[in-house]
Amino acid sequence: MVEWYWVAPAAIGFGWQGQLINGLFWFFLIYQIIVGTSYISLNIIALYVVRRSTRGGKDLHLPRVYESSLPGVSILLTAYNEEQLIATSVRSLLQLDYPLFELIVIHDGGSDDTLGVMQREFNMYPCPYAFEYAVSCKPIKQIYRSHNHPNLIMVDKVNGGGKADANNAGINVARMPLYCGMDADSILDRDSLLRVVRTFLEKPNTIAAGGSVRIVNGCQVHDGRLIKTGLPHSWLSRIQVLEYLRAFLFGRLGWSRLQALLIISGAFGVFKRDNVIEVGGYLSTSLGEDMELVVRLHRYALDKKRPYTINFVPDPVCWTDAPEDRPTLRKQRIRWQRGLLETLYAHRKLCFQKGSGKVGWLAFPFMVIVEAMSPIIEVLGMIFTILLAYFGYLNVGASLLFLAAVVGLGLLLSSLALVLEERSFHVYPSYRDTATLFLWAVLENFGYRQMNSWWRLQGTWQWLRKSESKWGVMVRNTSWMTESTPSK
Amino acid sequence: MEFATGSDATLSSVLYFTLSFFFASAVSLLFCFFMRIKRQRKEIRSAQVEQQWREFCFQALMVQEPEKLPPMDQRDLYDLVEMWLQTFDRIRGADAAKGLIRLGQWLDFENRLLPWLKSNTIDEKLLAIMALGLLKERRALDVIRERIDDPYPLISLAAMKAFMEIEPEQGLPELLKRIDTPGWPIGRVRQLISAAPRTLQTHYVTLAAETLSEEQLPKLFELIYALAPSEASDAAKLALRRHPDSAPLLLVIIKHTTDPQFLPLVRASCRNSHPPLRHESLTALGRMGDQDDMAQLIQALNCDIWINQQAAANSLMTIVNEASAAQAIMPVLTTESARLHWSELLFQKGWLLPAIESVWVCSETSPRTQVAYHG
Repeated sequence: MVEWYWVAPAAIGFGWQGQLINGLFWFFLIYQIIVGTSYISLNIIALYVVRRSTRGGKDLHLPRVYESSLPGVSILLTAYNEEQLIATSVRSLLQLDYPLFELIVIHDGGSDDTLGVMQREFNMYPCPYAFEYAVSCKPIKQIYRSHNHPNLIMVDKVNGGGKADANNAGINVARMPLYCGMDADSILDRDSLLRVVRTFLEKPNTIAAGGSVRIVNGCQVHDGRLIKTGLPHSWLSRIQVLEYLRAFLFGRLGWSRLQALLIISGAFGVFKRDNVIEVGGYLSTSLGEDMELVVRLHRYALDKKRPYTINFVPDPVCWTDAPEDRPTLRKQRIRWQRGLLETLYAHRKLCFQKGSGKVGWLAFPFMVIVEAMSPIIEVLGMIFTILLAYFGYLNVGASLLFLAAVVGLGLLLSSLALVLEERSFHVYPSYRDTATLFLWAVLENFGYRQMNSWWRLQGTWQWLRKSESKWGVMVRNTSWMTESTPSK
Repeated sequence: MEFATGSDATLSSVLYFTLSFFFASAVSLLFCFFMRIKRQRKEIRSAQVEQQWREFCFQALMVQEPEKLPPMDQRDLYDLVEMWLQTFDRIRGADAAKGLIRLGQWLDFENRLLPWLKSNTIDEKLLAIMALGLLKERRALDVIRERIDDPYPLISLAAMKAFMEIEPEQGLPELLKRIDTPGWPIGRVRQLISAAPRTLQTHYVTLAAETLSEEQLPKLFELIYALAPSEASDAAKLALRRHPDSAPLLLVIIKHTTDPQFLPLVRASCRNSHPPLRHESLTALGRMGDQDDMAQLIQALNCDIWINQQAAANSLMTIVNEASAAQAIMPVLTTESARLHWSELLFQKGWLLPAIESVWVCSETSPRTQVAYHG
């Protein structure tokens, strides 16, 4: 009998109310142990493989992969009301170090001047262009090519279906065997594509691969090229830097090593076009279209008993703009939670499916228990504690100890992510940056974490109520970006 | 309200875990700083080594006898070998390579690096394999041979390269046996083969065409066509005699061949039931075909699957390559998709007539119903 978290008064004793409170306590404790054990295990795997994944330098002394043997890549850049960022993103992508690529900008019928900016900046003209609707998407109105850049194509399509539909339009127009899905608010390191495509050559069964995504806020980007890295100034973005480090450095790296990666970020992922067409492309009704596609690819290959791999390559880096205000972040987190739940529910058959290996027996249950259910459990835990306190049953000292354990676990995971970062890329050069991130790893537990759980609970509620799915308008911060020639 | 009893096992566990979490976090932070200090010191030391030794590396490229070499600190060995390897990567020509090998020998790299072959550090092991290969150190051969089958591709590739450098005659057949090793991209294997003497390449590659399995042959022919296209035709005939119905083998041969002897095979394959083979055959007609193939290409442009229509259109344009003849094809195209392919190519050439510009409007093609996979 656990009586240290709550103090049973004589009126309750250890009757059914006592048993209920006791049961709830054990439930929260065991849940926390599962979460902690899972994350720490992923961390240990990541610590083991991170050097292996980033030992790129030695690669130089081996015979080069000749450029002619690299497969062509279609980069799909979806743009919905992105007039502020589109020119910078396109300029950045056109500078990529890759021998054979086409850049397809998909204008998803927004209301701003994205189309005009593209036409003016890149001298684009309408032209006949053969394509087939291999995967479903809203009608494509016109295709443009650039007089200045032969590998730049723009697709003007009817709005609808969100990013998934825009990506499907891009897949239909793409002509290369691989495609790379990107967001218009993201920029790639110049050799990112080379590094991520390498995995397709080394492991021919690879059907998809993702790279790391980092926060660009606080960095300096000039003419589409990252020239200086740094931490953002706003506290909200700093915490997101930590979240991205945790998610990409140990989360995805660990799952990739286990061959059970269920998410490739929509901001930067490379896929074999034929495989994606075979499974029907992106699901336009999904808010988490990136994860949904990866899970579907897993399911399809498992059902057909085809050998395949889905990899995460940590060193190719994509820099993305993080929300700096709470309403935008809230929308993003609600969308992510809904997307996660939609995907897990749609593919629930995969969970513990016979023959599904680590995907169905490890990664999927992890996603359900640790990721999808966490906001519910966390908020219920808070309510449970508040109720105990309200009725005077709470052992304050012990509950503070429990809180300290949760904070300590979070801090440990963040610190291990910092170790992984130092062991691999050391993107943030100063000691101050590391110390600042460590400080925010402590502070995020007081306010931000609860707020995030609350938003995600709202996402869960909206999903349960089947509210209308919307991407919503994302407020962009462009302070990190400078241009030599101002946009007309 | 009383605080929990210290004797409660759960409380004690949570307390110990909490303390260990905070302690481990603090240690991790310190470890981060420690790694950073170590890395920065190493970077400084590497820069010093580079400053001290760079001139000797370049000197070794040009002169027979270097100036008196400074004493080498064993702690600098890693950085020095790394720099030496980098110089190897940057130079061209056998004489320059000889100079660098001499420098390595003067610095006694062989004896210093041999123990690193069994190092527990992957970085040291890799460096030793690569350097000893370049130095053609025969004492390393047995260990290097074992490492060829290492599950880590970086090590296995480095070992294969080193083995080829020390013993090309034994190395080449070993390499060809392993051409489908996971993690060995074809581009790298090609580079390894091309480093072997030409006579050995011809001998062993021809031998491999006779002995390798049906699954390995397509990769071998990718290599042959890249390395010695003039010798590929005979080997291809030999392989096709062994495996006449192998679609993957046929596909690779048709993808690369320019030999007119294969034209009948290419033409016949345009009607094959295997779509990728049809695709490569239609593309090959663009390289090898003539006016006689126009009817076949127009038929493919009208009736085949989308990607093959595209290949047929490109090949047809290569054969026609004249404005009025190209424009005259438009009326015989029966499907909207074929017309769209053709008008795109006409537009690129600047031959698209205003009368047929209506095909620009792509939205007339109705979107297909979504065929999403839901198991």
